[in-house]
Amino acid sequence: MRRLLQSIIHNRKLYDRPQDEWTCGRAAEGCPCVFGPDHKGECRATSQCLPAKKGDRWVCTRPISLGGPCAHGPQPEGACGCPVPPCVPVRSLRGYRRQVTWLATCLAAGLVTLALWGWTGPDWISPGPVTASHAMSAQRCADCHVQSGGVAFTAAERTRRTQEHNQLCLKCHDLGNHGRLAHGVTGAQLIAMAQKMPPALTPSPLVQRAARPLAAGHPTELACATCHREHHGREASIRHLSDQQCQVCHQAPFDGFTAGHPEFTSYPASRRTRLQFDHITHWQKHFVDPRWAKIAPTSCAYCHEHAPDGGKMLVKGFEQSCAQCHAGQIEGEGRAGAKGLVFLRLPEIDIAALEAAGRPVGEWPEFCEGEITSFMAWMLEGDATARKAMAALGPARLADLGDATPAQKAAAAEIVWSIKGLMADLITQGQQVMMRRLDAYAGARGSTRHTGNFSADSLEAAQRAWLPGLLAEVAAHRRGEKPAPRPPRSTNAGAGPAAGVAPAPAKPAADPDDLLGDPAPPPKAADDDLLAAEPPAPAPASAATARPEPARPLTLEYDDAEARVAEGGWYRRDETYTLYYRPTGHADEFLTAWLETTARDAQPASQAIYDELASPRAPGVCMKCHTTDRVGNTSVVNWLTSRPQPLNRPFTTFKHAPHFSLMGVQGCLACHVMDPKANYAADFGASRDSTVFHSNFAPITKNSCIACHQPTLAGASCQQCHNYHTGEVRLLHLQAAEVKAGGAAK
Amino acid sequence: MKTFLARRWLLALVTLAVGAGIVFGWQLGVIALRPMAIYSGWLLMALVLVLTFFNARKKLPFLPLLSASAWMQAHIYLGWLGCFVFVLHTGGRMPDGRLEVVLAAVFGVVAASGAFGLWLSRWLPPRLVRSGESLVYERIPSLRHQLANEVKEVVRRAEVEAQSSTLPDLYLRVLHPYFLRVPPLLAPLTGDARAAHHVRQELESARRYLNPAELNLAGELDELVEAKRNLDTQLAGQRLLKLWLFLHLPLTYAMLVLIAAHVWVALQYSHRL
Amino acid sequence: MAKSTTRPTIPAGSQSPYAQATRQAGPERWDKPFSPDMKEVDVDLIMAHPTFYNTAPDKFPAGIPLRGILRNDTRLHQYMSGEIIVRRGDYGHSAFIILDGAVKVLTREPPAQLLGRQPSVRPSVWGNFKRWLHRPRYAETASRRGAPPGLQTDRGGETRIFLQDVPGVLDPDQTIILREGELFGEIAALGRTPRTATVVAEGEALLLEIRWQGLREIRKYSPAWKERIDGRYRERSLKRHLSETLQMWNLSDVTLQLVADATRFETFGEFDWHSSYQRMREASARELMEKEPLIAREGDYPNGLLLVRSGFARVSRRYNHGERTESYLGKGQVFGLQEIVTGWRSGAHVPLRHSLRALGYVDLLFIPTAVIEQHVLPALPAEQLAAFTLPDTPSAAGGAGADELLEFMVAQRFINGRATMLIDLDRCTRCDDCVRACAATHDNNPRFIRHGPEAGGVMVASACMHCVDPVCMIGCPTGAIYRENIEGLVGIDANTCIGCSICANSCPYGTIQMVALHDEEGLPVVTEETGAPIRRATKCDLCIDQPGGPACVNACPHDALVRVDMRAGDKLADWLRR
Repeated sequence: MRRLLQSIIHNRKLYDRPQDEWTCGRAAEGCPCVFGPDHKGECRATSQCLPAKKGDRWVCTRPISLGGPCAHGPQPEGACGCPVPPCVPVRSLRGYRRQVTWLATCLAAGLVTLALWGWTGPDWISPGPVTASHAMSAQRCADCHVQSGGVAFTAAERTRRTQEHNQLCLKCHDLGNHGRLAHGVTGAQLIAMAQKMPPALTPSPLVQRAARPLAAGHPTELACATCHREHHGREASIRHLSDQQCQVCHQAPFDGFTAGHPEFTSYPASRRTRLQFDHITHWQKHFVDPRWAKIAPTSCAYCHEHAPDGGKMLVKGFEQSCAQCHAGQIEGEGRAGAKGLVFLRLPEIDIAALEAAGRPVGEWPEFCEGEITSFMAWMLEGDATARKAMAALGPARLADLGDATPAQKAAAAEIVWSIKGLMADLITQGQQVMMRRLDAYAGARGSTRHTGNFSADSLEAAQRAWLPGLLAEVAAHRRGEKPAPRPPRSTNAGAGPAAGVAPAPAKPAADPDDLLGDPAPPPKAADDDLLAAEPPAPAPASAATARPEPARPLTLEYDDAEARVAEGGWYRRDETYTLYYRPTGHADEFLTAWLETTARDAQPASQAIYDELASPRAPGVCMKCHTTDRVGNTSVVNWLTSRPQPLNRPFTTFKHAPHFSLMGVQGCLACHVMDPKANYAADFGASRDSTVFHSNFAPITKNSCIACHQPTLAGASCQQCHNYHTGEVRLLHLQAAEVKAGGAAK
Repeated sequence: MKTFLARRWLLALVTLAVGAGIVFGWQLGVIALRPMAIYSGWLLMALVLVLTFFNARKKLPFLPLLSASAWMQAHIYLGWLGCFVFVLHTGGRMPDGRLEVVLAAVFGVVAASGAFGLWLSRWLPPRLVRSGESLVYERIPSLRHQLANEVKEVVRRAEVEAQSSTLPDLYLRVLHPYFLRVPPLLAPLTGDARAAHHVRQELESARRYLNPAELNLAGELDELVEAKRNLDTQLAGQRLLKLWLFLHLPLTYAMLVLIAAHVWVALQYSHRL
Repeated sequence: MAKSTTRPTIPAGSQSPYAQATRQAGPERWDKPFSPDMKEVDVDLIMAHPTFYNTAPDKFPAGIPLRGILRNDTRLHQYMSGEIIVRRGDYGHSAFIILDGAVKVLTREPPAQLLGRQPSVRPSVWGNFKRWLHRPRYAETASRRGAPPGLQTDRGGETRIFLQDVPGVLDPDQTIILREGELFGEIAALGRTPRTATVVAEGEALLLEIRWQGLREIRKYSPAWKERIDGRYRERSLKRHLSETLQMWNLSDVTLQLVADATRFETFGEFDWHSSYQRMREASARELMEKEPLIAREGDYPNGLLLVRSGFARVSRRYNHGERTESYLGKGQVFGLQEIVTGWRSGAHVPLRHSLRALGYVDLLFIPTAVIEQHVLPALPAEQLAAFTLPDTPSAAGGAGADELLEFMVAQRFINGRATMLIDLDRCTRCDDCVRACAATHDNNPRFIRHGPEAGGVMVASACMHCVDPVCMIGCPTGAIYRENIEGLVGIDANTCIGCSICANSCPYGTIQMVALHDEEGLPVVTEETGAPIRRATKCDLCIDQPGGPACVNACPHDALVRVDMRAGDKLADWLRR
């Protein structure tokens, strides 16, 4: 066996010192000097030993580790015999490693310095490209990041930072009032929903249960970044959430749509229809009725079409959908009784009683019938004295004041005079009277729609026929004169005014004429005129004498007054002393205007009008189909069917168009199943509560969706049907101020 | 005392269990919409710091901390865990930010060099033992020098005693360069015995020109060649065992700097902490 | 070295540092004869002393006359009052005869520093941290700690240590007074056991110090002395030793006494085996074994039971043309018992199955077989006897090199080690962390060399093994090298060490290094007189001042390094089997 390279004999070697950074440059030749270099790596060697003086001679003291005393020994004068020329100390491997380490560290530090504060800008510290829609901010971190304030450590600090960041998001994204609350609804609403919501049908999955404690500490105001994670690439979706993530805050999480999602309760119906249209009766009675079969719709598409965005299904509108059958009905075809709306009428008054009570009311036709019309009542309400009188009258009827108290009689007389005054005003001032009265309502401005183009002339004509002396009487009454007692009624018994409207008699016409010439004269002038003129009392007599005359020159027959305004307008009937308005057809402005106004107004007078117009027998029969909803403390009449509301994001979204291709032979009925037993009509009529309803259609069942909406088929993720941000949401809104600022900057 | 194999199994299983736990927690966090990137980031930084402290512990041996072998085991398995958390943290894809790309690359190199070093530390030593006498690294240069001198001495004797130039020629042609030779860096991996083999063959083929006296010297030369081969193996092996740290350590410190920057940026810009 | 030092200031960047080398007093070692100044008159004086009346010089061989022994192997020593003669725990190689005056034997051990030892540093993290912070920049910087109290080095380097605060330590009831003519210290001298008590001079005392070689000759050739020495040993510690060794037999006092009376003392091998061992260590294992003195040969009749009192013996067995080592015996182990028991039970002639060889110096007790068979065995219970009986078939002999490592350890005498540093080369990545840790905990100086003999992929690094039989402690002039406690770890007191390098030369394993000292500038410290560099003996102190234990073991990241007690064989086996 070969002897070992390294001797193991002791004291032939010294300790190795791997921890030293420098070693003697001559170690490689096996003859290191006794010192080795100093700590800075400088050679300090001169000789291999320091000769020692034994007695008078020098001996070599070279350590055995360097080969023991040298052969020739020291110089005579004591210097070492084998001097060592200075060497170049060698750095140890670890020494080099230390240098490399420093180098690498400094490089990294430099790189970091450049990246953070250098000229390289955000490219270096940006963790990645933002989505295309945010790309304009790629170079402007401050658009989305709060750059001041340093690193937040305390919880309070962190929430503050989070909120500041949220504000930056909301600078561009308008999420409505409760934008940053869960689903954009307040906690109270959430609780309400949670109570409506049935508990999950299946036990929540393990992961969910385990995750709940994590979810517990959620702040009520969520950070946008909770769900929206940016800097994951241009095409990355920052809106997608997994179903489990969606449910992590929920009280009753479940596996998914197919398993655990609660059954639909009333979807899609969330309220009664705006039009009272009973699909059952129409499809099962009317459309099969041979009378209508020819023109009856044959498919849903006849009346329904989808909105431009393919979402909602809309009703095509009256002309297309209803007019075929119902247009005439609205104009009053085949209607028994007046086709017009009673606007004004001379009510039946117990004149005798009044006169007996010494309260003459002047001229009044004898054979009037009926009560004061709701419109008259409404307009009288505007007159203080009339309102007082009507209140005083109480339950007593104008038509029979036999056993009325004197006070009531006085009130009745006052009412009669008010009616006369109203007529006079309508004649002399026309539409303004109505408008003034309408102005009493806050908000509701009177409009031409309300007047229905009321013509004072037609009323004047009526007055000539009914109360020729009206204007004078009213003027006198307003002056405070008592009217002359009426002549005993004898001659013209049984004779009423002629059927036709006789042209005003020439002679008495003079007074009206000049009276008309000055319809509302200042009291003084009126006095003079009336003083000058004969008392109006004889006027009836002259009228009576003149009565036979008009018939004779008459050659043409007048058509029926009602027929003359077949397309709608004002007409009167003298035999009933009534002024009518006939609707112009569907969406008649007069009716719609009055329905809207009176629906809103709770006063009895208004309600009387509303009830009259809303009754199924009312001309125009508007409210036979249209409905009124109470919205808050006011009411709205639904003239239109439901329309898409782009600014109001619902919680559940459904697009019809994509599903058309899936409908089989049943068509829409595949999903919308009619429910014959549902008492559809019950919830209409007087009711104004839109939330109480029975739909014509059975609720859509989950099964009809599950057929396709499986995770493996059409997909069943929450986000497919549900929005997180709901309510008044403008995903982006334009800030004029900023735009201007931007413009100014450029 | 339990065997190394048992320890390896135990720690590996523990590491796997912990990793699984981390994944589960990660899943929960993601579902609960927690900022998992930040949480995992903190965890990863803590791991890196623990791993780095191994070096500090080596420098302060007098502190009654755990033994270095315990630290080594922790270093190894926490290292694997760190790589695992790193994958979670980055989502298993190359990050997009430049600073992050640099950081990820550095981490990758550090981890890779660590794994390589581990393998080397287990694979190489037995081979060094089999190669022959084990030498102290610091002494190798002088030992090489010593060998070269001995060869020179033997050859001189051959020249003087046998008056022949066979061995001297061989020396000039083959032995001299061989004994001054320093093996290449990756010799231990490539198994670099070619040079020694070549020299032996030359020596063998030269024997036919030698007289008995020279043959003895040739025998000595054989021993010296064998010694040099072992010396080369020891040198190359021990050098490689030290060189891999030239990647592992410096980049670690660079990584610490980058991590600090990364953490600062993340906390400064994150919408949600 | 605790003396005041003069060192001129050094100009920066100087290239001739020797000119400014620190100069201070340095010691010398006395010459080869035990004492150069023993004169014939002294010998006459000694011969005239009553102690040697009945020593018959004519019994001595002409080669080694009594006078010659007295002349070369003894010396006269005048101790002053309170001077320490021997210290408990020290390894002595000489005995003392009181020629005049008296000495005190302290039965109670006084504090270490009173005995001139530096109190060992108490392990403290903070202390070590500060020490690490102020670690010197250069190798082997001389520490400026003062010498321990009581150490005196007069010119010529003779070192005397005085017991401090004598009245305080020595209350009479705790001391035994030895008077003129008494002999002490011979047990430690012959038995290679540490001193069992501290002896201090009571007033002025003239002592004759006989080194062990001389004492052995005298014992051998003078029956009177032999009777005296052995008798003293018998009465003092033989019975205790026997009862300890044979305690499993729980013998009655009577039998014990009988056995003790019959016991003979035998020693094999040379006392300072390390020197010859170092000469031999280049030889092959086989040569080594053949050189070892044979104590008992395989196949012979066991005429006695052998008890190892100190040292080691190799138990080997013939295997074809060689011998294979089966095990080794250390202090307190017995040889030949099984053969004796088996033979007694079967009544047949059972030869020894193994040979016993002395590894270095072995001190044995020999108990004749007859005594055992007559007094001991009958008293033993049957099952114990069964346990001692040999198996009928000898244990199957595995192939050669069945336990390469054992052969190696025995051949290299590493079995001596209590904290042998073993390095598993299959795990070791040569990262040198152990060495750096050692340096970091020892003022930037490593205290071992990561290199040494290898066998079976295990390297025995040259770090102090803190031997069971620390030959290095023999002959330290100042007692600077000491043991914490009996069988404890071996330390060197830096301030008491005079750099004589006796220990370094004695250590068979070369784990003690003489290092040249440097000052803070890294320049050598040299003697004032000759300018020779001042050295100091250094070695592993097993991190006695480290809270965490040996730094080398703690620093190994790959579990490659251990310190094992070779007497705990199973631990070693476990470690190897990992």
